[in-house]
Amino acid sequence: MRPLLRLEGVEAGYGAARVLNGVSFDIGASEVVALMGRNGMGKTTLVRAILGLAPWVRGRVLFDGRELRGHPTFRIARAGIGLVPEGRQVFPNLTVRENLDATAANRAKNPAPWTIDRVVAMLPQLAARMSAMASTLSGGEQQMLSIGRALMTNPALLVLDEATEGLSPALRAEIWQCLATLQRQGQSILLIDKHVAAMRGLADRIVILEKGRVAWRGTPDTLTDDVLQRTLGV
Amino acid sequence: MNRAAALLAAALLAAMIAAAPAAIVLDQPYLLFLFQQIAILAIAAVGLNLVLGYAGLPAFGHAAFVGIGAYTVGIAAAESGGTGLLASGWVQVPLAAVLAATIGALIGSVSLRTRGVAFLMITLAFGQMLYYGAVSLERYGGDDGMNLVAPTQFGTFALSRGLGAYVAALIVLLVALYVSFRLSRSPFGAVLRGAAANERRMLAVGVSVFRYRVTAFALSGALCGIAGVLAANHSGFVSPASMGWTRSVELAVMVLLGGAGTTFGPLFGAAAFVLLEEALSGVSEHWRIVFGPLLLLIVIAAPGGIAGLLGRGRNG
Repeated sequence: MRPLLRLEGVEAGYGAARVLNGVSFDIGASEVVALMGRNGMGKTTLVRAILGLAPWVRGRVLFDGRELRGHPTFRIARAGIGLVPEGRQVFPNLTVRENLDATAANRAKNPAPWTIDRVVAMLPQLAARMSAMASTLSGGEQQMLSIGRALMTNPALLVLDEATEGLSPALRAEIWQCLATLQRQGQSILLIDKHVAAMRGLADRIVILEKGRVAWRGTPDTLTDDVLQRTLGV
Repeated sequence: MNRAAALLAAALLAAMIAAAPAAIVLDQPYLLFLFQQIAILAIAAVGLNLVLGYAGLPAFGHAAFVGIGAYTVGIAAAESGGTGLLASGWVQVPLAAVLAATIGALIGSVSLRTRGVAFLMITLAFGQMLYYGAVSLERYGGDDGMNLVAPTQFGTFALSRGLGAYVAALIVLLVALYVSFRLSRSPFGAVLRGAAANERRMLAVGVSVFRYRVTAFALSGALCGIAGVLAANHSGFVSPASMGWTRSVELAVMVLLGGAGTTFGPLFGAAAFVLLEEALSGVSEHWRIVFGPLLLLIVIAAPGGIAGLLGRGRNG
């Protein structure tokens, strides 16, 4: 079966600095892939390369069989890649409802599209805050909003870059719960996070990056402590 | 909605409505003239606010769109001699709006490929191109401009000076404020404001910011074009002077003075600008020496403008 996202020898960087040195892996439909790696190994750069946000990218980035390289960022996102960026990055000058409304897309393509009601049912913390400015939300609420905003684009692939960073254990647990629900609904997810145990519990497959290359790949049950120690230092 | 700003706007609009009978009772037609000028400038400022305020784009050529509206009326009147289809407001107003919107979209689609100072300079340059275009219209008075041969006609109603024209300007202003209010709260307005905060972020969630901004330019141009129709009828005169860069800067000052990106800011700014100009010019002939620094001081002291001073709520 054709993968939803296929990366073939992806190289990317900033100016003369090369961060990715030929990354290749696939994400299938309804599959959750966890991308791990120490800081500075190229995880966020890979996300940026997929979305056309990296200054330069080489190799092939195929989404649903179509090459994404060379397309503007908004078109790549509109093709069906929903990003929950590092640092939440909600629109602070918009209300919660406006944050969700402004990014709603791809409804016609989806038989059961995400709507504000459906997002609020999934993320009930937002219900009472719909008219609040996003800048007044707590960190956890902003993260929920960021996930809701990505879902409103009705993505075929949801990309979460450090979605639980800086959150309390209780809020982290809520987000993992939410992701598990999405997984059960058949949502494809590319997950980047520092919480290895939670990622192992959720992911169908794991890819570990080291110095801009895939250092290890496999299923969670084949990820040994030795590999973790060697690649992540944990 | 900022409650204090809404109350001030209601008071201001009530004063503008009351100005009509007051001008008649007190036999002060100048009062009507002054308030009509505020209404017309406020409509143009509401138009500019879509781009400068909500979209956060420093456009400095919008007087040209007002000029396009004014010249549409002037040329249509000159060519028709004040009779026939071209003299009709049902033709002139849509024509002015469509022309200004189309040129606005064209200017937007070129200038929006740049950022920051380059964007500002390109909008200014386009404005000046249109200004010199008007100067070169020898048939229509060139640099000197031309008198309006006949006012815009809606059946038997003429959009010239007087109570009827004033009421028409007020109605257009109310409609413009309502349109601006609705747009700012629509997903369209949310995209403009969100992209003003972070364009890259908006692109990353799949929104073609460029298209939204070009649309804002077109709507903005249309509103300014309609203001131009009213302005030409108000003064009975059409001239390139009304579309030069200084006029564009004045419109931008009105938006900033009143509160950029707020519903009522353009109304506050236009009223404050015209009334301040009126008050100071009555004191000394060198009033501009005071007027300029005073405006500068107000904008520096209150970066959120008058609406900001009143306690900025959601969209003013």
